[in-house]
Amino acid sequence: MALTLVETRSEQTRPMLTPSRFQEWNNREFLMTLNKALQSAGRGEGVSFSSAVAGTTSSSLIVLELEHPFWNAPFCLVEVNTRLATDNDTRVYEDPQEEILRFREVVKARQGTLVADDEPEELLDWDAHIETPPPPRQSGTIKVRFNYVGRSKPIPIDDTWT
Amino acid sequence: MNYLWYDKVRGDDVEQGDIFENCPVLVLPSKLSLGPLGTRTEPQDIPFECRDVIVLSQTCDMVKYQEKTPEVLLCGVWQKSDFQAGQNMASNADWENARKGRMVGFHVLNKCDLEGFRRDFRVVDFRRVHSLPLDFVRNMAIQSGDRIRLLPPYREHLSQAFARFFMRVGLPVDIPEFEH
Repeated sequence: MALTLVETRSEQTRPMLTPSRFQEWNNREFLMTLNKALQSAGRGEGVSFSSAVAGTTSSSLIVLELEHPFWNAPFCLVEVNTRLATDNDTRVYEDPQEEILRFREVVKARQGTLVADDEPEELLDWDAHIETPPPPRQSGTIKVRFNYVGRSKPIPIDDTWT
Repeated sequence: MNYLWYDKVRGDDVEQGDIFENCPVLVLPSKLSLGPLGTRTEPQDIPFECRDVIVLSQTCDMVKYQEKTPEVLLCGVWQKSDFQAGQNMASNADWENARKGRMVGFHVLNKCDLEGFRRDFRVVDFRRVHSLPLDFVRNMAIQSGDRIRLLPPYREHLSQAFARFFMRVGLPVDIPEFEH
């Protein structure tokens, strides 16, 4: 899943959509720390950290005990307690011309529908058969006299691999 | 690239995937008596039916003058339009399940659009297996004139499906289910 943090500024007050150095620094540090936290979580180490962007951010692995094997794959849970920009104590200056409208999160993720096949093996019908086949286009009888001479002999083959 | 399902062939070369329409197969009665060994029976009426069949024997076993088998293994084939309402395999749902490989005893073949051989979708019935002498099949192939042959990789797909059906094993005592 790709998570994009988009900061929207007023075009009237600041047409150049450039975040302040501190905001940019904070965002980058947050994402880098989050990346490390996710890697730690992948190794089974729960990690929690605080930052200027979010009060606390914790990541941990969750293994669900559900019937379908798909859900047995470990999930990484990330909890982010957000904080308001006004609570950001690392913010050392305020630009009066700068009006931050709001953060907007755009979650880009592939969408798909899970097929509910809890027991794929059960989908195989081993016993399906045609009880009454379609009538033959042509049928009849032939007169046969059986000459019972016993079992036949196998055909001789010198080299079965040629 | 166009991967054709069928080709028109003629002659007495028999290959896996060859389809013979109206091939006579004997239906031996359950009460057939052969008598003791070394005797000859009185003339008996033995029923036969003409069925559409497809060759499942390996092509390399039927190469002319290098035959490895005196008999050809064939499976019954039905066209979708052969089935009447109420029969097995009469519904599209059955055909869809068979197409997806969920009905292990069947294998669906595409319809044929070759000139002179326009045929509906077919299903190969792995439970109706016949064996005919190779010489007889060669002679029938000559008499048939043009006939159709299932092409690779569809014939290998068919062969694999037959093998999967034939090698199935049912355990008398299965391992109990693991509880989640």
